[in-house]
Amino acid sequence: MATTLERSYRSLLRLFPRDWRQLHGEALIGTLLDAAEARQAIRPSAGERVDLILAAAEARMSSAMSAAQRSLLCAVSAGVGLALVVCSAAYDLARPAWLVHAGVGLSWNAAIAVVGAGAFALGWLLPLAAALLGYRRAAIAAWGAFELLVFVDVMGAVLHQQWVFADPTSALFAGVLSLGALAARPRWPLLAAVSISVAAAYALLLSYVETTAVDPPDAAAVRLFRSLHFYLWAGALNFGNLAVVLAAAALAAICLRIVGHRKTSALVIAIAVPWAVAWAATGAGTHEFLAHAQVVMIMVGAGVAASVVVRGVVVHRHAEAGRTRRV
Amino acid sequence: MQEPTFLILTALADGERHGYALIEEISRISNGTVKLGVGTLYTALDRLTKEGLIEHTRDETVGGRLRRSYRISAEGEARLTEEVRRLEANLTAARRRLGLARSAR
Repeated sequence: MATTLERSYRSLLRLFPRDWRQLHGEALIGTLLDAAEARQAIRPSAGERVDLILAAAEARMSSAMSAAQRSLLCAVSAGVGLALVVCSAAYDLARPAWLVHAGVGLSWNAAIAVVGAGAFALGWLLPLAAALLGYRRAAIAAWGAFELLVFVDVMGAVLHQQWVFADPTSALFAGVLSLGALAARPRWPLLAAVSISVAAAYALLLSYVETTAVDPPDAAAVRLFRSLHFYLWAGALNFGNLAVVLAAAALAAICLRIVGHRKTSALVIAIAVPWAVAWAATGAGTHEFLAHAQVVMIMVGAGVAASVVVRGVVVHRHAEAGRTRRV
Repeated sequence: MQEPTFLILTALADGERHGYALIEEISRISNGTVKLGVGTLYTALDRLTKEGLIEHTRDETVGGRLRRSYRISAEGEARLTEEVRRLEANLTAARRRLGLARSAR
């Protein structure tokens, strides 16, 4: 004899993970019905729906990852992002002769050519800093502005077949910072979901535009993937970008190891090794190889340092705020 | 400590309460400024139970609806007391600097 109202609530309840439902489902429905009766409602209000959707997302997220894991993820993604920013800024400012001479088109130089490394860095650093410090509105605003920039960029690329400030590395970068968003503010599942979908759409579109409008770089990895009909991703898998991905993987593995997640670290390495071999095989003996290898090493170093600092800041904040803040 | 946590612990400080009673009590404590969503309430209750700050006491079925009651644990009381002291210290400092002596109000 369930009423329409109860059926609506039960269909919303299905959004929660099974374990959670078994534990709290009936009590939640009971409370929802109590509250609805008090205000004489016959259907769930819009606010109630949003509240339940967000609560369900949070329940799913916290069952997948503990707070400690999320803070670790935050530190690692901050490290990777900072490393990218530092390297692009250094490259932009110094334009080292050995890189230019080797004709290395490390793709981030395209990314910073138009807006400059500073703007690129701010777009990522501001929201992260605001989120870590707990300024929710500022972080949302900064993130919104950055996502808007990404959107404009994608539209520019699609409509005019040319870059505004984009290349596949920026897509990778957007993905990394979305991870940061997820990790830094797990209480904003909606924001994280929007952020991640924008980053994913961005990566797909950019790869598509690059593979159709521009000749792909001649790395063997690209030819291999073309032959496998991975057209969408071929653009993202050029020599330079593979180096960035490998550096990010190495960095993640080192950070995971530092914090004691040995199995995950080993898994990351296991996934990265075949790619590293392919990367080394395609580039061995060339100028680019040496140049890229040096950049990768610098990036890993900068990233580890940044991860340690960010993790230190997070841990320090917790310690400073006392046990109560953890709640 | 976040505000919902603070309010839930405060609402449970003088005895056990079930879901809807908690929402009403929190609204009263905050002078109607905080209306906790039911979803938000239960994710908070789940978290606080896991952290050992509150305990599930009993289930009771009223008119076919399950009412699950919670009470504050010893650790929850300690944590709330600690938070109250911290807030009081901040308040005292703010009052002193603003020249708002307690006796003046």
